[in-house]
Amino acid sequence: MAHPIQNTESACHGPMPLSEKLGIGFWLSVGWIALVFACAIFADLLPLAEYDAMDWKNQASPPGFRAIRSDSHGQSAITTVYVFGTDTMGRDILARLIYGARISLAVGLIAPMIGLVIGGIIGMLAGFYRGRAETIVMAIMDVILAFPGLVLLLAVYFYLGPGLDKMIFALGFLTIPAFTRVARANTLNFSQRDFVTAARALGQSDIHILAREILPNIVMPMIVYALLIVSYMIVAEGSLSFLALGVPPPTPSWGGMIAGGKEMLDEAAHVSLIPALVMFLTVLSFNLIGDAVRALVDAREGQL
Amino acid sequence: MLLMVNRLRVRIPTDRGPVCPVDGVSFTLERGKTLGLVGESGCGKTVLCRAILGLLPKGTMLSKDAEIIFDGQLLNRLPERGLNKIRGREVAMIFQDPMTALNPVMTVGRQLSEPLVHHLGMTAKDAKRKATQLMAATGIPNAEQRARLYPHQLSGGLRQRIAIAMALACEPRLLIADEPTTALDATIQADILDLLSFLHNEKRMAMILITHDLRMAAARTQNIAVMYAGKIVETATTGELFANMRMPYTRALFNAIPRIGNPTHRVLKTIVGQPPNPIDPPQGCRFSPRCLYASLKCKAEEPPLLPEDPLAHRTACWHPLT
Amino acid sequence: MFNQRTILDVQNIRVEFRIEKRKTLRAVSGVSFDIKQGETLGLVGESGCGKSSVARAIMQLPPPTSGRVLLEGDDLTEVSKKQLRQLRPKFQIVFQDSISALNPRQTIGAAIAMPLHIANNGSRSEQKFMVQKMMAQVGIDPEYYNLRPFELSGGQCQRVQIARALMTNPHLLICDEPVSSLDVSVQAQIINLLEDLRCRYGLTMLFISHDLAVVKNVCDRVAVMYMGKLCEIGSSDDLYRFPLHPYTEILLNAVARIEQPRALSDAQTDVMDSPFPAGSPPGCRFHQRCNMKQGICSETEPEMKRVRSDRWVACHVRE
Repeated sequence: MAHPIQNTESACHGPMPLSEKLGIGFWLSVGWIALVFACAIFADLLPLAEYDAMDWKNQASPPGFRAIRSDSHGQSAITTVYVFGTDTMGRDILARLIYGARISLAVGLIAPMIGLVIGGIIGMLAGFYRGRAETIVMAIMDVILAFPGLVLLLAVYFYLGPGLDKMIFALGFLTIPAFTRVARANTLNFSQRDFVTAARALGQSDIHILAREILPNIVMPMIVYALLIVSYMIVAEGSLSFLALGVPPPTPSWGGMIAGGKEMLDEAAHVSLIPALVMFLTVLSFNLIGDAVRALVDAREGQL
Repeated sequence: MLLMVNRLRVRIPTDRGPVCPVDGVSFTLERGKTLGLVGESGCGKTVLCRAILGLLPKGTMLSKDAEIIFDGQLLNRLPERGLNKIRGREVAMIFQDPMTALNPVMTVGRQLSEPLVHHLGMTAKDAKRKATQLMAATGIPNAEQRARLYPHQLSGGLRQRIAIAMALACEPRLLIADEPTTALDATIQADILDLLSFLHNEKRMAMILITHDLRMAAARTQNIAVMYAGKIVETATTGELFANMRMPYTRALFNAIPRIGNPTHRVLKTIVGQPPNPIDPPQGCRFSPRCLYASLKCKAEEPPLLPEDPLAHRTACWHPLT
Repeated sequence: MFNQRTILDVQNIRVEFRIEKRKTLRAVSGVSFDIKQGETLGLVGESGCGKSSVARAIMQLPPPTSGRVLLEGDDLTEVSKKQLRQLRPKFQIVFQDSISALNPRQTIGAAIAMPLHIANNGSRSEQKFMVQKMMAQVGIDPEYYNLRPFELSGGQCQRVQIARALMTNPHLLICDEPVSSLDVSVQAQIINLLEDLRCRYGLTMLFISHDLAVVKNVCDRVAVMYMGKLCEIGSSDDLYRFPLHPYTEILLNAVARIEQPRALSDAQTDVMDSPFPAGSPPGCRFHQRCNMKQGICSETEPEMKRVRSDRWVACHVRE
């Protein structure tokens, strides 16, 4: 229909509230991420089993399994409920999931942060000053981008040994080129605008122009980009742990848990599938939040 | 009557609530005549013209009793397919920025000949010849060579000529020119306007010339409609309007134009204040907050466009100037 | 008129841009003029003729490729970076696109306060007071202090730009097409505002525009520019009444032709593909469009020559 017909006499609405604009998917995602965060932060306060306590009698028990153990005197029976069951070594999956969330979130949040800060600064400087330095910097970034990431991660693992910190730094290093490009492209765009010329005409110094005129304009697109990188990093951590290149056992991580269940997929699929589902939901939530924020920022930007 | 627009009201939903950029507009255009649609930016003149061709964004609503009658057809009830037959063939449009109408990756010659092949069923060879003819008719010298160029290789004036040639390809009966010269230099503006008047006379084609500059409409239109905040506030034949501006807004708009004959440092007559916010237009006459002659009645009651006779000098004003 | 101090003296500036490895684009090729205290000089010409490049070269953003720009005796192209930054408050610029000229993330109060912030002038509350006083002077409601540019109309943004430029008490204000993208009614408001501020602050102005009518209303003297060179300069009354250069005549006719259409003739002005031909042809830059060219016009480039006391023209035929 080219001309939808409707009576125009209806009353005026006020501006659309933010909650409506973002949609139900966004709020469900926020709820899930908040839950994961809360669990990860308060893991020690929750009534959970030890994540590395092995119950050898009940290996790979299904979700909701009630294990009955006798205490040291062999008298009263203590019942443990494994909400999500146990893994192949009889460890409580729920506890491992929650402690594993710490690893996934640490990698997912800190690694992009490294890229955001370092890549952002390099990109801003390259886009602002241009010239030969920019050409060189962008060439280096292209080299890093072209370098196979997995080879670097393997090298880090074998030369520096396993460890969460090393993995985070290696992954963070790999995100630098992408952030550099985003920062540079946005800086280029804004430094050609007249308000930057106007600030120069007033005698504003370069550092002030970068900090006060350009940075506030590129922060939002950078954060939106970082939100999308978060999910990449969570998946990357999962993949590395799956390949046993991640955090060393017995520290739980979602990727390691998925890997742990791979031998028994036909008998006890939940051992792999539950962490996989949790990871899937988390990644999906970060992506949905990123998309919603980007749509919102784009709409705002359209008004500017 | 070639085009008749009755009680047209366009409502566009936005984040801050619905706006009515066109709010109850009626006008007529006779065959082969030119109408100047004059107003400042945001007064709804562009939306009005897009509404005629059904080119408004999704979610836009027209009032129930609106009628857009082109040559006996009710355009606003026509399905998309029917409109497509009208667009380009019966009614063509040219825009302020000719770049938006041209495909940057196709030579201008091909852009001109392709619709001729598709719409009019010409052979490729005939279409090519016709395209060159059209370019020559819009005053492009060395048309054959220039047909092989891409839009970015042409100057702004030439691009607008190509856009006009494209609009004329199917010999439309109505040409809507939306600020066709605003993006061009003064010397070229005059050329393009002369070209449009020439084509209008030559082809007996009706034209709606949208402009913010009353001077441009002065010599190149038979009728003028002045718009303010989504409404037509004054309409008359061009001669009558310039001889006798009755709506204070029209006169103020005319007086605000800097004249080349003015002495230096002369204080210009301005209209105080800003055009109204389309989300929340003022009560009564929409021009009343800025009008020197506004009375209490102006602020309370909206003046109708009178007299009813569409051919008369009509004004929407409680205190028309004499 | 004779004892007035020269505020700006532009001497033979050239501006070249490198567009490709070995290709340079000459935007301005040898432009000289001066502006006396309290005077408004208009610079007119079609788009792409280099008017804005002249403005930016004076602002040293970027500096001209060669030539001198003397502001009250200081050569802006020679002084050190630090000195230049200290001199910057003396010369300010207002851009055409007022939306682009204001940082979308900054409140207009912060934008106008920027010069005070740079000069570290006064406490926060003092700054706010000074900004609001200036806002009232340029006709913006001081209540708008915390609004952002997209919440204002184009005309109001232009007022914000003017306020920001005036906060430094400049001796020279360059206006680069300040009213070209505004509606007729708002255009008149801004022109009147500039006139009012000129009287109040004794501003010296360089007013760039492609609209000859606007320039006539604002400027004491007018310079006409064509393809990177000046063709004519003189007092606005004299120049508009007796245009000497054929290009000036074409420009003036165009204004009249908008109101008085004529039959389509061969004298179309826009049929060139590009305002910049690849290599500069020898002779007068205008000779291809000129209707009174002579043999010499396609051979040697005319120099600026004085015709009357305050009237210069670069034309072999009319000098």
